[in-house]
Amino acid sequence: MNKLILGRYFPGDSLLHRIDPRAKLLAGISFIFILFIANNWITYLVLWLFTFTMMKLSGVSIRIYLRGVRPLIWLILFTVSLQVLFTAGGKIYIDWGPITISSFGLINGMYIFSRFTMIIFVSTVVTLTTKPIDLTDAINYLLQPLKRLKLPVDEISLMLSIALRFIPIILDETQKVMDAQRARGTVFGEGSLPQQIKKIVPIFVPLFVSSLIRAEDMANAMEVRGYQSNNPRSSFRRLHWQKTDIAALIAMVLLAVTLFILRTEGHHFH
Amino acid sequence: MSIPCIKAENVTFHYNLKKREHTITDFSFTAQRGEWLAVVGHNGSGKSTLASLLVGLRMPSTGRIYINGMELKEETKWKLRSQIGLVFQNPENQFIGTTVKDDVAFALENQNMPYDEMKQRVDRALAMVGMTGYADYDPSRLSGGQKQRVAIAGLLALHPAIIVLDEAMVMLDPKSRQDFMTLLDELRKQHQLTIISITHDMNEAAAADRILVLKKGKVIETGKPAQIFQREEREDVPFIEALRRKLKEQGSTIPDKYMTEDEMVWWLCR
Amino acid sequence: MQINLQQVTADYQAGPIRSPEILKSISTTVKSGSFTAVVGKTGSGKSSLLKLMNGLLIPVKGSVSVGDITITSENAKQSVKEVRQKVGMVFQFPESQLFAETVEKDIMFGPMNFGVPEAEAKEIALEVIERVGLEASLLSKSPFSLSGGQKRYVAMAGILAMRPDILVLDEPGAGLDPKGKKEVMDLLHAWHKERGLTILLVTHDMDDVALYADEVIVMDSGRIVFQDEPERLFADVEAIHQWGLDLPQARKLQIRIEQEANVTLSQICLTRDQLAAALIEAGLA
Ligand SMILES: Nc1ncnc2c1ncn2[C@@H]1O[C@H](COP(=O)(O)OP(=O)(O)OP(=O)(O)O)[C@@H](O)[C@H]1O
Ligand SMILES: Nc1ncnc2c1ncn2[C@@H]1O[C@H](COP(=O)(O)OP(=O)(O)OP(=O)(O)O)[C@@H](O)[C@H]1O
Ligand SMILES: [Mg+2]
Ligand SMILES: [Mg+2]
Repeated sequence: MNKLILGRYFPGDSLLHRIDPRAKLLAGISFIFILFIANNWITYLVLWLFTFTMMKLSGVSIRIYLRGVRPLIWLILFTVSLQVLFTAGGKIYIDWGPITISSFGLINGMYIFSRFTMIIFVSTVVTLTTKPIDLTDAINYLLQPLKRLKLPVDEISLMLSIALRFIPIILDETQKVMDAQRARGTVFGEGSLPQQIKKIVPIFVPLFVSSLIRAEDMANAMEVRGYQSNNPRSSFRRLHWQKTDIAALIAMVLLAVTLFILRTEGHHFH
Repeated sequence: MSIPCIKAENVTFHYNLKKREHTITDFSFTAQRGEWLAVVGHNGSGKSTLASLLVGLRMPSTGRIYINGMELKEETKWKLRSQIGLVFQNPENQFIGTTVKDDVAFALENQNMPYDEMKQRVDRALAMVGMTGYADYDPSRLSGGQKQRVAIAGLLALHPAIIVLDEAMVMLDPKSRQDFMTLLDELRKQHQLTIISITHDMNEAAAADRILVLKKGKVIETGKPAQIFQREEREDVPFIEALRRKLKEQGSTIPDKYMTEDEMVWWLCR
Repeated sequence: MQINLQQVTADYQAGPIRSPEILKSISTTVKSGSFTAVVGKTGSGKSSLLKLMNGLLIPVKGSVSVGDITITSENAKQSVKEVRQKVGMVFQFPESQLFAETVEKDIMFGPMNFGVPEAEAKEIALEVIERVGLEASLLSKSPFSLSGGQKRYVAMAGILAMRPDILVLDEPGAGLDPKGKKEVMDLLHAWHKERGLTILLVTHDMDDVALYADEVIVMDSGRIVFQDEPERLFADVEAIHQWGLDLPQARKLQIRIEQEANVTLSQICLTRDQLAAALIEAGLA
């Protein structure tokens, strides 16, 4: 779980960090749709170029992105091999009844592979460069129109942000309790399965207690620092729509247009 | 004489309602505007409990506390919160924001302060404590001293009239601690700040206007540093007094009265 | 038992995301049976250095040896377990060290982890709680309902109960009242002398450095910039200020007196007793 980087924030001050979370979220979502425009090698090349540029711009090392894909690699390879094995057409290299390895299959496999990894990379770019709390603000904003459909948008995003605030706290507390026990001789992740489970148990009770205490401390701190639930509050986190944000969205439109131009008419590989 | 800034009258308090053992017993004192008051006492003598009573986090079982003439009660505590700021003994208990700058802004947001003023105050407070470069860090991933600095910044940004520091500087290096003492003293002179500083550092206490000595939840003594430290029964004394006693013990003719550093140097060089 | 660091580089990890380098190619030896103080500015890497010696921080490059055990990034899993039996660590924030429902259970956790039977662990708990100067009545309380200083004592008791060969303490005096602090430091010093315990502690109190340490390490921006006897450190006033440190109070006062009275005392005084003696000897007091 600790290995997953999708959904983590990487503090920094790159161009991408500074783009409004709403713009980033919109751009990220539109990228997924734009992916489906691509259908030949040149369009995929353009997309890869785009993806790499974004990864570079984020200021986070490519190694980290690669490590981020690693936990999902088996899932990707599995899907890709299904594609390869069950797509017919073009030159046939191996033919075992329903299972064939054909040129179309291989090409299709490559495309699927690209699509998967690019989605992961681009969404990682978005989450790495956006604070979770900003992302909730953005989601809240973008969902506003749904209020007309009587959806409880504010409540949903409030729940989301409380959850987001508490996940790191619980992780922190877990880390603390584990470190405290490590310092007194417990070794985690060793021994047989029952032994390992036996070591996990002494974490839970303290974790529960300390999370409760932590919640109480936090409530106290909020109170002392003047927080009252139904009073009006201003916000230091600002969603600031700037020129760069518009530029970002225009870039997405341009990307889509380019792909439309470079796309092969007629052929569809899926 | 004008109304005292803080006035506590016969306050008692106990954590455990079942046991009749009081954590704070018949506690009275006053503090004038612009005064620096040091609170000293052994571990577990009730200093932090006193701090939580002063900011209205806990309510006295009996007795009253007045802040600028207004009684601190459930109904009035919210109004008084913006005038009084507390730095907790453990800075970790104080953090609410997910980044350093969000955290410093928290109390300001609660006052519904306009963004531009908040931004200015946050930047200034961070500069004062030397943490500008860490504005986007997660407060839980800082060193001990850095955490204490951020906690102090949160207080400075608020511009309260009264500040209560619960051992807020113990994890700072000697130079930073000196710098902070000077900074606070300047602010006090400029803005007539009242400072209540809980400390175990007798040299720091010796620099205060007045000292409050706590023992088992009771004020056993209050007075100017000279009065408090001169008494022979008192074991915890500042360095200069300890040296004076040592000299006396070794047969020196040094006067039998508390001296400041200047006085001692003057006497030695006479 | 000796500690040896070779070219150690370390950072903090949150999943695959790494912080910038916190410790930069550190090499040092902490001699067996020494009492070493670690000093330096806020954020200079003192706590991180201590965590290395207890395996709570694993070197990215280089190696940490404790006695005959060596921790490197490759063999961390196995070696860390052995190291923790030998090195007891008291954290900077005592709150983060306590977890059990009662003080007694918290102290018993370590010994029982190493196979001490329950009845014996109870006796140990009672013994150490008194050694650190707390009342035995606290044993049945929840560690979370204690005052800041009381938590610090309990955290120390929990580590002392494990009877480690090496003790690393991160600002053990922070939050203790002067009397309690002196008792704790004297206790550590006594154990260091009697049992040959190797002690490494972070402190901001230069008087403690002068009084107790036989060696001092100065950290600055993730590097060790000085390691020698305290007397040597305090001889270099300029460097001291540059590293955010200070002189012991006795020495500071000595310098002032020497300037204003235009005399030179017979020796460099780092402690109160030395200064008192020198002043009397010089006929000033
Ligand atoms: N939450 C709590 N529940 C029950 N008892 C408590 C609680 N907090 C503190 N106490 C007890 O109240 C007494 C006073 O504690 P307090 O924290 O005020 O001491 P303190 O003077 O701040 O000490 P220190 O210098 O160690 O911080 C102590 O005996 C402590 O055990
Ligand atoms: N968990 C963490 N994750 C990322 N960075 C950290 C973490 N803990 C500390 N740091 C950073 O590492 C550097 C060194 O921290 P460390 O805690 O070792 O300093 P220190 O010398 O003990 O300081 P202090 O005297 O303030 O406790 C600091 O710049 C700090 O911001
Ligand atoms: Mg306290
Ligand atoms: Mg530290």
